Amino acid sequence: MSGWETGVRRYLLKRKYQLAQPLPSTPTQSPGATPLDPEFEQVCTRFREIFASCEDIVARRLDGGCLVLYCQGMVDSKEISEHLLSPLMHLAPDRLTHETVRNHAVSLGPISQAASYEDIVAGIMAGEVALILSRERDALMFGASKAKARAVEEPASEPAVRGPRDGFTEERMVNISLVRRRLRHPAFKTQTLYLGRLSQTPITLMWIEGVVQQGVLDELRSRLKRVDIDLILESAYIEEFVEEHPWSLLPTVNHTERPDRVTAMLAEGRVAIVVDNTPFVLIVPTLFTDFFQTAEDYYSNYLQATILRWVRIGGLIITMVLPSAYVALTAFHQEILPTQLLLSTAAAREGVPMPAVLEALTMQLVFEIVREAGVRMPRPVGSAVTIVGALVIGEAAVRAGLISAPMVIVVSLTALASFVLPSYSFMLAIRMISLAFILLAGVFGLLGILAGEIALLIHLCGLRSFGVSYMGPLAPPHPQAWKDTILRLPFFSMHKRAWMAADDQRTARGQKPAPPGVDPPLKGGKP
Amino acid sequence: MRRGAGLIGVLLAVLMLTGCWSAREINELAIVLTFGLDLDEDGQYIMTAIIGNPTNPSTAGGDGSSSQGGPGAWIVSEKGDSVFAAVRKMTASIPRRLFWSHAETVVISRRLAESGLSDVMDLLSRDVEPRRSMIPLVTEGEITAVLGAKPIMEHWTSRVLDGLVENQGQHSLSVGFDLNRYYRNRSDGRTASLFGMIKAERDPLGGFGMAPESRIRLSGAAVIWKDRMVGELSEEEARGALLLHSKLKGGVALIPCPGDSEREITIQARSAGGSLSASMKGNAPVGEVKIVAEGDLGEVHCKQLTLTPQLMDKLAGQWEQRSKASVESALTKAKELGVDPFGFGDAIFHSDPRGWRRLSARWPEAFRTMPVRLQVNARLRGTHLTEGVQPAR
Repeated sequence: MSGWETGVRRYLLKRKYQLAQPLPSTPTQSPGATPLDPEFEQVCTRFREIFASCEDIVARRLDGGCLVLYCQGMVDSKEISEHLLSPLMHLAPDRLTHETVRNHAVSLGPISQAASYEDIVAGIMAGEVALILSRERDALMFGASKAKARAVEEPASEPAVRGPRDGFTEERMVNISLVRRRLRHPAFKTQTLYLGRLSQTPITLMWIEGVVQQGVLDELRSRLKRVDIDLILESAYIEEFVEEHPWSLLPTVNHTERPDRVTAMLAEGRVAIVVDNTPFVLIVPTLFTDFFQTAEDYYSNYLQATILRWVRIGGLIITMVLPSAYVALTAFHQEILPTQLLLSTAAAREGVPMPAVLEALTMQLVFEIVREAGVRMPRPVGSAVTIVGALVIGEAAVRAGLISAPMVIVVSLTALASFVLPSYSFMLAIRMISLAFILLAGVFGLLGILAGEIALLIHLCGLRSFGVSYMGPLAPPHPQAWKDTILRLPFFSMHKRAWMAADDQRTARGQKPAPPGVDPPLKGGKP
Repeated sequence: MRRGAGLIGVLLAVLMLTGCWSAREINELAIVLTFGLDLDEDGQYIMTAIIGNPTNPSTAGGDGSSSQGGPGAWIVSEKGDSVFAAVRKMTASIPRRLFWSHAETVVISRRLAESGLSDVMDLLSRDVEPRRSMIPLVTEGEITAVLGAKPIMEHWTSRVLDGLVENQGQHSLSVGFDLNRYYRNRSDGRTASLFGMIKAERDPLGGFGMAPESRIRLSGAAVIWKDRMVGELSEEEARGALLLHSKLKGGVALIPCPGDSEREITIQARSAGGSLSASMKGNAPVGEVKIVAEGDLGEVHCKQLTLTPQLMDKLAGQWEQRSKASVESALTKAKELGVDPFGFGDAIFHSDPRGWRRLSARWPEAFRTMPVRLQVNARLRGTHLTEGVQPAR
């Protein structure tokens, strides 16, 4: 058995291929490795080699030993010709020095210096303009990036009735600024790493100094350092590398599109990871209870928010247990059902060819198909899914006696309940677990469900996210934190920072609104 | 650890190999809604079961297509030397597996009850499916007259039986004790059991031609000592028994108007609770019963009635007498029968085990002569919404 297991592990964990050497003329992950050659001609040749067949790279060589390099499409060409090329052309060749260019000739935005091929290439790829002068050893890098960014829009995956309508975009700097607008304090820190051998994707960590636990931050950095992958196209690529339990079905890293949510999470002592080119920002550590909370909980009345949280927990329970409980009750424990319900269920199941467990699995599968089809289908044909799903599968299947009506009700209720869960990835995980429960219910009845639940609970209690217990603050219990976990008490009653934060002491007390001051007693009964 | 996980996986797979063991699909069951037990002349048991026809009651054809037991039910009957034999014979004519857990009542013929219930109760208490919370009901006449009656308001006769027992508190003219209590009484041998009596009868008013010809009605109680029915309590006595058991939940009592014995005041009982105790005075048991009853003025026919607190007390006193009479009638009947369905013996057993040891040999007989101190404390609470009492016509 161990041989079989080793085989599986080798298959799963073995590198498929190893990049024996860095790709030719690729900036390696150690910036500044190759300094610029002293001879200007050499430099030009070298760049010609590096950018051979890179048709989007523009190299302008001007008289007097001056090379301008930039990536077409990522920079504002008009700006460059007006403010960079044209002044350079008007300069006498002997005045082509950093000093002149910087102070008298070029009025382009932020200027930095780069001394190595790697840095220059990285800068060009990021939308900077490189200016190399024969009289100088270093290159000047001008920021003239004109990224084709999507406007800040309402986040599609996390809409809110009340609350800010801005959502993250694909532009990393915009995303950081959205958080910065909410945290106008220098304790809000960021750090950018470049990951991905080919993609060199900028990844920015965000945290609040003094609130975040240093251990979490260090651990995250060390985990990110281990990431060695060609591409990072979405934050999910990172997610799998930094998770403690990548084999678990349940997500231990959360993601969000809402800057307000990220800000709140930072203030709780968490770290956010912004990945360029995706609006989804990762948040670590992530706990089980996070998946029942929405940003809107904090924007509505605390009682309503609390009850809505319970509704979501109810949604979780229904999603997880309802189909399997139906199977167990109809196939094993008919004693539990009220007589009337038993008879009408029996009537509905009359003539249905499949046993309940198969029926449930089939219908769950059918729902998954409908859901997946609804997501993947091009918008214009979307209504077809609805019609096919509702009519063919719901109505016709029941009419034809293939599926019993209560099963359709159970599956639809389960489907509805699952969409109560705010996190799509968490919802999918729960749905998968519920499939296993159906199987258990079909074999062992309620005992099977119970065994499954116990196993799940053990698994949940064993999970950790960056050293924090996944089931915290429920297990191990932190009663102070329950104020904002299963309940959502008013803000004035939350005296402490989130229990995860390094500094949990500071928050003002006594902010409960006092009753309006008593008016001085009226004299003589006159108004 | 990896190895352990693998092992668990393999074990789980092995467990799954058993398939859906002991699974029984809901549509493969013949759901018994209620059943009756009878004895024929040859000493054979007759089992009669109402089996639910799995139809949705809301869409099933109304009462037009009525049959015995209700629109969605079949009645199946079979004989056998033992109940189980009869049941097994029954399965030969039913294409599905019989399922007994949903029977909430069991109807027993008086004939069977008088000849002894041990044999039939053995199966009911031994088998896993019949519930101990089933309500046993004794019927005077034929089982089929009760089970075959056309259901009123409900879809199945069984539901009518359940409903009658459940709402028995509205009139308190019968009892609704379950089999569990019977089993307990049977095994400790101190207390007799009371089963509700049910009968099929014609509507005395004829139902104006709109009601079904026969209806079923709860009335009185059967007294079961050991496993035999030894007597019957009338409706009045049954109410007394309920009072003694602190189980009275309603029902009305009539008392004469003050100063006008022709006219009545109807008092509606709200609740009655109390304590029943017994002790040994020397060698003789003495019982003591304290009952606190609460009620409202339900209906007043008096010509003149000015309600004052004094008058209310007086009326309460009359009601007290009335309730006392019920209790006494029940006590007298039980003493006549020479069995104790109220739990005096049990009270002695618990309060004075040594005394009980002396008494147990002559227990039910000693009950015949046992004095019972009876104290009823009645309180009238409400007069309902009437503000001033209206003079009678």
